[in-house]
Amino acid sequence: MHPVLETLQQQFPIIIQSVNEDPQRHELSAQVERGGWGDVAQFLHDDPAMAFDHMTDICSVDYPDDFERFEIIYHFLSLPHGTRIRLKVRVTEDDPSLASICHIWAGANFLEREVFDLMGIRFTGHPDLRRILMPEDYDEGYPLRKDFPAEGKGWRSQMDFIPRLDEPVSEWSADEIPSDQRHQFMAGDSPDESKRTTEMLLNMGPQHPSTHGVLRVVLELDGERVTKAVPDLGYLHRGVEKLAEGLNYMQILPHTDRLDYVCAMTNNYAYVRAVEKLVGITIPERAEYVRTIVAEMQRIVGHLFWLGTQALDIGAMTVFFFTFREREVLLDMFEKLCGARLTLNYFRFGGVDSDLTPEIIASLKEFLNTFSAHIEEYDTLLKENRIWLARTKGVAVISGEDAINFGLTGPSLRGSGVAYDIRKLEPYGMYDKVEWEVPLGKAGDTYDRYWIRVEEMRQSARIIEQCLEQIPEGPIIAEDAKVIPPPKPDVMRDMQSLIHHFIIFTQGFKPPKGETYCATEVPKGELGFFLISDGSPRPYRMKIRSPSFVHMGAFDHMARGYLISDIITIFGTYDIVMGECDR
Amino acid sequence: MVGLDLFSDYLSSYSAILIFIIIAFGFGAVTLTLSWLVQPKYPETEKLSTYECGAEPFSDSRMPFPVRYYVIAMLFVIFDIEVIFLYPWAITFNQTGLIGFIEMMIFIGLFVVAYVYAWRKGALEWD
Amino acid sequence: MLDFGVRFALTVSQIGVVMVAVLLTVAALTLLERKVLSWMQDRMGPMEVGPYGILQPVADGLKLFFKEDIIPAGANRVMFMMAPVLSLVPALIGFAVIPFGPNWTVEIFDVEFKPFIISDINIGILYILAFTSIGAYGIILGGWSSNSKYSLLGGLRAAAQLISYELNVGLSIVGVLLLTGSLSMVAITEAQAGGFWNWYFFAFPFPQAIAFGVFIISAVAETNRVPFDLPEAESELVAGFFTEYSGMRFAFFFLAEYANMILVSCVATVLFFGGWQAPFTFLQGTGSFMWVSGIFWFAFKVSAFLFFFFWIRATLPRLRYDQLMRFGWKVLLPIAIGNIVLTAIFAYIFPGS
Repeated sequence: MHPVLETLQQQFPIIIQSVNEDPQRHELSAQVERGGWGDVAQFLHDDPAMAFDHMTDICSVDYPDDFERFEIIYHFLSLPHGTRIRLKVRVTEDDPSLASICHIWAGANFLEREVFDLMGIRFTGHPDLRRILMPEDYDEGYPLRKDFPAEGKGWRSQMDFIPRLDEPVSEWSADEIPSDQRHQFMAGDSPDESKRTTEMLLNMGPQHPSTHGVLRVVLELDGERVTKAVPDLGYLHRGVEKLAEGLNYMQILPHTDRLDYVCAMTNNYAYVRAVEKLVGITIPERAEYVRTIVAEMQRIVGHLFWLGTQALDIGAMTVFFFTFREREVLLDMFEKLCGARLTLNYFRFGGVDSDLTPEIIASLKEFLNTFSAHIEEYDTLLKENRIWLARTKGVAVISGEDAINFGLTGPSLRGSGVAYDIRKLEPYGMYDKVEWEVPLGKAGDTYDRYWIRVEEMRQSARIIEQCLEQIPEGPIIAEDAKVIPPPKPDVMRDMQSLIHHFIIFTQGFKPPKGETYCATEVPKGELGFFLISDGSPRPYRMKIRSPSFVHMGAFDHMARGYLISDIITIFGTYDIVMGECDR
Repeated sequence: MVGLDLFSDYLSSYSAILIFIIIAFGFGAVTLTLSWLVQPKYPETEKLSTYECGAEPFSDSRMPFPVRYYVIAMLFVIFDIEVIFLYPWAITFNQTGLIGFIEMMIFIGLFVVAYVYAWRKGALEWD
Repeated sequence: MLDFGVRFALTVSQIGVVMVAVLLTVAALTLLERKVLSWMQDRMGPMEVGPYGILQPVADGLKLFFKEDIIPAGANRVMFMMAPVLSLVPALIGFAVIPFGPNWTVEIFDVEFKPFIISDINIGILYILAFTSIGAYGIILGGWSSNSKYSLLGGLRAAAQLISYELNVGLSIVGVLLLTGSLSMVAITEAQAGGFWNWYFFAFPFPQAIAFGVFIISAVAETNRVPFDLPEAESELVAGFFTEYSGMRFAFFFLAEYANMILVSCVATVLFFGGWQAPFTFLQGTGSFMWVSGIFWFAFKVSAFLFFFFWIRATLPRLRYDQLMRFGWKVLLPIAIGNIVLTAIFAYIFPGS
C-alpha cells in the first residue's frame, strides 16, 4: 500500500473508514468519517510527510438511495511529493453539513460555495456561504441533486424576474439597494452607515468592455483605490455538469469546446484523456504526436489571444491586431484540419478525427519559421516600453505560498516561481519525448506572468518543431471495437463493424464502474475532469475543475489596495474565460 | 482722438471674438435643435436608467468624493496664479533689466520652495 | 455705418470659413485617424462607405444626427444638456487668434481687413489658455450631471488631470514669451521669421526644445488622448465622462476633442515652429504667392502634429492614474520651471536677440 494511505490509517484509525489504491489508474483515495474531517484536513496540510498544500477541487455527488446521501469528494495535490489524493466524506440528507476547510486552503472558499450552491451542502465555519453560480434569490432547489430534472424547471421566458417588453413605462426611482444587501461587498465587518460615507460601491460588469465576458465584480472604492473586490459569477452558467449526466460520453465532447471557447483543442484533450483513463485505451503513437502538436498550437493561439487582449486592456491597441494576425494563421490551419476554427471538436476517444496533411505540416513549418520574429515584434512594443513596465511590474503581486494556497495553476502559479506544470510532473502525450523548459517567474507580478506566457509560446513552438521531426507514420486512432467507432468504409461492408457502429451511436459505450480524475495543462492552468461511472453509457457525475473558476477565488486577495486601472490588468493577468469559469 | 482710435481698434478686435462666440454657441444650439426635431423619441425605463454595467446601481452617484482631488485643485489654484505672475515679467523682460531678473528669480525661488514643501508634505503623492 | 456693416459681414464670413474648415478637418480627422491606425496595425480600416471608406465621416455624422438623444432619468437635465456645448464652444473659438497666414492688411470698401487672422489681440496666447480651461468645465459637468458612477469617476479624473497639465502648458510657454516679449500670436510668429533656425524650437540663445517637449506632452494630456486618455479610458471607465451621452451631444464631445487636438497643434506650430513661415525663406515665395505657401506650411506643420497624435495612439499603452499625476507634477513641472530659469539666464546674458 502507498505510504500516504498507510500513514493516514495509522494516524486516524477510526476516522479513516477505508482506503483504496487504484492499481490501474494509480490513484489514491480514502473514505473519511464526517466528524473527523477537519482534523484529517489539517493533518494533510500540515504534516511534512503529507504536505498536500495544493487544493485541486471539491466535488459533490448525490446518491439518493443511500442513507448518507451526499458524498463530498476532495482532491488534493502535494507539490513537494507530487502525489494526488482523493478524500471522500459522506453526509446525510437531514443534516447536510460539513466542516469548512477555508482556513486551511484559501482556495476552498469558492469551491465550497459551488458545492453549497449546486448540491446544498452547508459548510460550517465558511466565511461567506452564498450561492455563487445560480442567482442569489434562486429558490428552485439545488440543481445537481439527482431529483432535479436534467431538462430544468420551466422556460426562462416565463420566469418573472425578466423584464417584459409589454410592460408599461414606469417612473425612474432613486431606489437604493438596502444596506444589508450591500454589506457583503464591504471590506469592513461593520455595516455602520455613518462610518462609510466616502466609500463607493461600483459594479464592474457584466456589461463592461474589459471584464472578458460577463463577469461582474463589485468594487468597493475609496477614491480610485479598491478596498474590496467581490466577484459575482454565473452569468454564463449553462450547467454543463448537469447536462453531461443526461448525455453519453461521446455527446459530451462538443460541450467541452464551449467551456474555454478560445482554446477548444486543449479542452477536448483534457476530456478525452479523462475518458481514456477511465476506460483504459492505449493511443497509437502518431495520434499522440498529432495531439501534442495541436495542443501546443492551441496553447500558442490561447496565449496570443491573451497577450492581445491584455495589451488592449492596458491601452496598447496595436499589439492586439498583431497577435490576431498570427492567431488567424493558426486558426486557418485548424480549419483545414477539422473544418472549424473555434469549436473544434477534433479529438476522438483513442485518437484524433483527421490526420495532419503534408500541406498543413508545410504551412505549420512556415509559420514556425517566422513566429519567433513575430514574438520579437511584440516585445519591441511592450518589453521595453516604460509605460507597459510601469503598468505591469509590481501589480497584482501574489507570493508563491499564497498562490499555492489559493490553488492557482498554470502561468498564474508559475509567475510566483512555483514549478508546477502537469506536462512535466505527470507527462502525457509526447511531452517527455521532446526537449523544452518550464519558464518560471520570480516576483509573482503581472509582468512575470506576461513574460512567462510569451516564453511559453516560444517553448510551444519548440515542442511543435521537435514533434514534427519525430512524428512517425501510422494510424491516428486506436482500435477498440467496443469504444471507438470503426472506420466508415468498414461500416458499409462489414456486418460486425456495422453492429458496433450502431451500438456506439445509439447507446454509447459502457465504461467500467469506477472513478477517475485526470488533469491536463491547458493555457490557463490545470483543467481537470473527474468522472464517476456507474457502468452505464452516461457518466453518473462529471466534475470540471476549471482553472478560471479557481483563479477567481484569489481575485479579492490580488485586487485589494490597487487602483481601478489595475483591476483591468488583474482581469487580464488571470487569463479568465467566463465560459469555463461558469460552465 | 488717438485714444479713441486705439479704443475702437481694441473693440474691433474683441468684437470679432464676441461674434465668434455667438456664432459658436449658435452652431451648437441650431445643430442640437435640428437634431432634436428629427430624432426618434422612445423613452423607456431601462433605457433611461443609469448605466452601471447592466446591474442595479448600489447608490446615487452624487456622493462625497475623496479629498485628494480637492488638494490637487488647491495646488493648481496656487501654482497657476504664480504662473500668471510670470507672464507680465516675461513680456517685459527686456525692459526690466537686472533688477527685474533678480526679482523674478527670487519669486521663482519662492515658487520652488512652495513646490518642494508640497512635495515633502506628500501633497503630490496620489496616495 | 457702412463701415460697420462691411466689417461685420467680413468678420462673419471669415469666422464662417474658419469654422467650416475646422469642422471639415475634424470630419476628415476621424477618418484619417482610423485609416492611419489601421495601416499601422496591418488592416485596412473603414472600407464600406464610399470608395476606400472616405464617406465614413458623413455616415457617422448622419447616424449621430438622427439618433435618439437619451437623457438619463437621474441626470441633472440642464447641466447634462449644456455640458457638450460648453465643451465644444471653447475648442472652436480658440481659433479666433490663430494666424493662418501672413499678417497682411487688405482694404475692402475702405475697411481694413486681415484675411488670415480673425482677431489679432495682444493677449492671444492667454486668451487660448483661458478658453481651453473653460472646456474642462464641460467635461467635469458632463461627468457629474450624468449621475452615473463611471461618468463621475471620468469627470473627477478629467478635473484633476486637466488642471494639472494646464499648469505645465502655462509654464512651458513662458520661455517663448521671454524671447518674444509679446503675448500676441502674430508677433510670436513674426519673431520667428527668416528660416528654421529662428524657430523657437531651435532658436538662439536658448532653444525651447525642452519646453516644446513639456508642451506637447501636456497638450496630449489636455486633449485626453492616448496615453493620457484616462477620463474616457474605454477599458476601465467604459466611456468615462460621456458614458451616458448619445446622439448629437455625444458627437459634440467628440467634435470638441478633435477640435482641441487641431487647436493645440496650431498653438504648437505658432509657438515653436514659426507658424506659417517656411523653413527657408526661398521656399516662402514672394508677393501674392506668399499666402499660398504660408497656408501650406501652416497646414503641413499642423498635420505633422496630428499625425504624431495618431502615431502615439498606436504605440503607447495607457498610463495609470497615479502615474499620470506623478508624471505631471513631479517630472514635467520641475523641467518646465528649470527651462524658465535657464531661458531667463541666457536671455539676460545675450540680450536683444
